[in-house]
Amino acid sequence: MIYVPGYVEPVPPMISPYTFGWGSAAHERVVGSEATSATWESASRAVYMPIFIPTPTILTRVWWANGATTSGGATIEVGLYRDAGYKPGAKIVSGSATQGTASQVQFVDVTDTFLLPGLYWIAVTSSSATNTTMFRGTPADASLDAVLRMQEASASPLPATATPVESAVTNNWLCGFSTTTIT
Amino acid sequence: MTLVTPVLGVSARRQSIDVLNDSYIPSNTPPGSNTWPSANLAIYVPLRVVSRVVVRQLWLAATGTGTGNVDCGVYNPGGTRLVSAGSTARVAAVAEQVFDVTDTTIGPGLYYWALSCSNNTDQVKSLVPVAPLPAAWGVLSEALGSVTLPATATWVVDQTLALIPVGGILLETVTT
Repeated sequence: MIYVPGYVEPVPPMISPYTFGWGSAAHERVVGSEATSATWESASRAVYMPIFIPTPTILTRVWWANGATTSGGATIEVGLYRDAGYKPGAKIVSGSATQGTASQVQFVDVTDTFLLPGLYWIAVTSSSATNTTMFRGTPADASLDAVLRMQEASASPLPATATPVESAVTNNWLCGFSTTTIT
Repeated sequence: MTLVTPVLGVSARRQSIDVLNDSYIPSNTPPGSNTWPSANLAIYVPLRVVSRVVVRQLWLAATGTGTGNVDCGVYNPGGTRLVSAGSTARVAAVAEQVFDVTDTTIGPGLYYWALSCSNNTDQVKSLVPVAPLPAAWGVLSEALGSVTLPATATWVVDQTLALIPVGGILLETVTT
C-alpha cells in the first residue's frame, strides 16, 4: 500500500505560463499587469516558456488567445517540448491552425497525451507578424527575461527538436494546453 | 497497488477555499464592484481543492447594489452539482453573503464554484479581465432559464465573458 503526499495537486482545466505554481508568469511579481493584445514579435520565431507539471496530466488540446487583429491569416502553432537540461528538447505534441476570430481563445485538438510530472516547455510560433496579434504579458522588469522564455528563429512549423537561445524579448505569450474538451 | 488519500492529520490550509486564493486567475488587480453580465447567467470558476474537506457554507462578496436573487453552488469537473443554496434573495450590503448548505465532503481535486444572478443590474465584487482572459483561466458559463443552478451543468467556454465573481467555500460555519 502506498500513501500519497498529504496535499494532492489537482489538474487545472487550462494550463499556460500563467497557471499558478505551474508556469513562470503567474506571479504578479513577475508579470505585473493583465495580459493584453500585441503584435507577434517576429515571423517564424518560436518562443519557449517553461511549465512545471506537478501531477500526472492528460493533454487534450492546445490553445492560444487571439488578440484584436487576426486579419493576417497567419498559421499559429502551439506545442509542448520535453526538457533537456533546463532547455526545451524534443517535441512531444503540437497543433496548428490559421488564426481565427479576434479576441477569442482558439483551440486545436491533438492526440490525447499523458504527461508525467516534470519540467516541460510550452512553445508557440506564428508564420507571420503582419496583422497578427495575440495576448501576452510583459514582466515587471526587463531583467526578468531569463525566468520567462527562450526562443528560436526560423521555427514555423515547430521543429522536432528545439535549438533554443536565450531571449532578451519580454513578451510572455498566453497559450498552452487544455485538459478538457469543453467548447 | 492501492493509493490511499488523504493521510491522517492533513487538512485544508485555511477556512475558505475561494476565487481569490484557490483559482487559476492571476492576481494582477484587486476586485471591484461590477454589474452582473446578464440575467440568469451562471458563472463557474475552477477551484483547486488540495485535500479532503467538508463544505459547510458557501459565500459571495456582495455589494450595496442587490435587488434580485442568486444561487451559489459547487460542481465536480463532470458538471454534476454537488451542493447548492437554491434561489436566495441577494443581500444589498458590502459584506460576505453566506449560504448554509448541506454538509458535503469533497476533494482532493478540481471543483467549480458557481454563482448565478437573476438580473443584470445587481453588482458583485468581482475581477474584470477583458475577454477572452476568463476563458483562458478556465472560467465557464451557462445561460439558464431561471436563477436556480442546474443539477447538471451545460457549461461552455464563454469567449465574451469579462467578469469573474468573488466568493467560495467555507469549511466551518461562521456567524454573520
